[in-house]
Amino acid sequence: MATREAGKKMIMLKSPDGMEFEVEEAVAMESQTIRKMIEDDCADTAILIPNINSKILSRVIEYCNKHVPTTGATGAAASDTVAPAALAEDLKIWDAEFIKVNRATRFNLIQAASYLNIKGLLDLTSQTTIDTISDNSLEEIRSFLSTKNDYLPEEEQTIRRENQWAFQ
Amino acid sequence: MAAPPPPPPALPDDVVVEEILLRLPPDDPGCLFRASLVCKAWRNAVSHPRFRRRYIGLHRHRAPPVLGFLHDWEDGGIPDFFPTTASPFSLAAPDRRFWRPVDCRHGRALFLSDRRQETQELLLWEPITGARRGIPVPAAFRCQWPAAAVFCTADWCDHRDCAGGPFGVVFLFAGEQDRHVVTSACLYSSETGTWGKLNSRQDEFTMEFQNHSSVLVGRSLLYFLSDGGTILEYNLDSGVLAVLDRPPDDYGRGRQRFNLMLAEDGGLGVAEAIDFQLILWKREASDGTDARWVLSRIVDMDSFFDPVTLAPVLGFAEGANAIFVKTIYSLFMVELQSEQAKIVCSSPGFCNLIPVVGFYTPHSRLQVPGGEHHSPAPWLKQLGRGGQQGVWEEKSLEWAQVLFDEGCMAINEKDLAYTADCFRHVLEIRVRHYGGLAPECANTFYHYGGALLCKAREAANRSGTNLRGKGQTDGNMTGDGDDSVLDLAWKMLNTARVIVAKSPEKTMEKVNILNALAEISMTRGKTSA
Repeated sequence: MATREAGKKMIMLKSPDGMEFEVEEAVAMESQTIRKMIEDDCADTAILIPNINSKILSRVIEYCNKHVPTTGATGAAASDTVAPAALAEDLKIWDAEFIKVNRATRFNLIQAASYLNIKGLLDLTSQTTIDTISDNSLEEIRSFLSTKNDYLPEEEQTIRRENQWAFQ
Repeated sequence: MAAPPPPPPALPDDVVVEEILLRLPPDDPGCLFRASLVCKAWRNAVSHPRFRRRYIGLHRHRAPPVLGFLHDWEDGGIPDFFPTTASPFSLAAPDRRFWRPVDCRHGRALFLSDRRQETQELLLWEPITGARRGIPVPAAFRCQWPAAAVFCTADWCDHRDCAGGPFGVVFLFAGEQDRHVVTSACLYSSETGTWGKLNSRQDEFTMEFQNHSSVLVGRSLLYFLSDGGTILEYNLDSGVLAVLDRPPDDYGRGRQRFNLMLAEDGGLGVAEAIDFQLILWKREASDGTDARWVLSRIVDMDSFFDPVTLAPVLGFAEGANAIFVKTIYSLFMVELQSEQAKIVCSSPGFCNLIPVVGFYTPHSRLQVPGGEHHSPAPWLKQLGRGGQQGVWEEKSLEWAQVLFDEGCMAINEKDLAYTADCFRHVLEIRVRHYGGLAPECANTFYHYGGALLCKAREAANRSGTNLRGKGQTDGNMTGDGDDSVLDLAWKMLNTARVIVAKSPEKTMEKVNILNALAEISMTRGKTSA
């Protein structure tokens, strides 16, 4: 269902809950997974993105829209007019705002970024999470990620005894 | 029109956990270890070989971190492995009451058994996997203070993850021959399990090597520093042992205050500590004349800590470009590129430090028979029965299969650099196990060659330039930088061809290999035209 709009090739992305998103091909190709589909000519009709609901997919598209290397009407890169450093700074601020989401959304974004192979988004979401938890104790990490400690009490005891240094 | 989205999962799944944990900083390995204790799923995630491959791949743009150092200081309160990391970290190093550390490089550390033992032995220890392996010393060696160096011998290796692969050991020692003092060196190969020919030179006095470890320059020159300050060069290719002059005494007391290091250009360097300054020298050949020492840089240290006189430079961390230096109060680590110094500990002890450099990921450690407080002999006997060696081999082969699948997946994702890296590791493991021309290796040669060909093709498409151009070589893959990726692809595919030629039934494989070889020939034809 690829269409043309103002000279730009458009791609239709479908989430499993039935929502459709029309995006520029260049934006969609921020995802290496979609890029491969397009390059292999598997993307004539709408691309169904399994496992990613419309709420998350719309956030992912929002990210790609912001991060796609933009070109003006003349074809000149936007970075020709705006200093690259300022552009990078602007993106950094935008990223910081973008990632202010709840825990579940962030995990879903990591999952989506991993599946769609969008390196920037994967780095952003994963790094933010690791920065949040890296200074915490094991108990705090478990509680933050709702992860259950499934070591048996005696296993945990052995681990603590043999690796005292890790609990200092 | 849309159904309401399903509720988001409360727990992160395996993919999410792996992606998060991959971002833990390599220079703070305690984090990864602690993460492995959160729950069993996390432990399984971080100790999987795939995680290690991805971890090193993700952090490939940075130098491997210094994890800590080994030492032979007699203070029993100091651990055998002393961490230099931000948060607590530990590795179960061999007990220094029985094993004196002598060298560490390419994911392997080398120890010499206590000289009071009746017969001395060498011990190879892999800090990341915990694997240990005994090596006899050369028969001609008599009890002295020898030097030894260990290094990876796998071709095309970038040495970021080569533990478990083939390695070499050089052993250097002084002795007496026909009433003359001689210094001798010989080379051990893990592939043959034997020591090569002894190369000796006559010297005026007996050299001892207690205070310094070696430096490897390029792939074939090893340098040693004797306690008396003599620099020795051992050529791994020719076996020639030569003595080098020392840097000039321009800055006062030289001699025992310096240590060997790698210069910025990758050649031999020397770091000298004088008063509050580090004087860095490099060995430079000029106009075809003999190489000489030239001053490379002076680093003022009094800006980092109170102006107290520096004591000798204790160790150089190859790969991480950092040196250890002490004052009468403390031990410091100085990163030479950034000229950043940090205090490591306030004990002014230590006389020789062996830095441990590399990427740490938790590893389900092999059971080491005997335990760390036993003397060397019992577990060496166990090794003789093939116990641990067998486990080691088996683990490697399993790992090879995991990496192979990983490589096949990566090629679908068009991550060609990673694909080639995976296949290269698989090839190293399988060649070591089965032999270079074994039928079991044909498929791996073919896949590795194919991946390299794709890589060369992609590089050419991207730049639109000559495939064989120097700019296209990948230092990681080819090692020397002169062989192009395409040449290496040819070598691999040709080896695959030679192997399958022996089996009459492998027609399809033969066709595929010949096709790939033909493509290389055509590409070469085009580019040389």
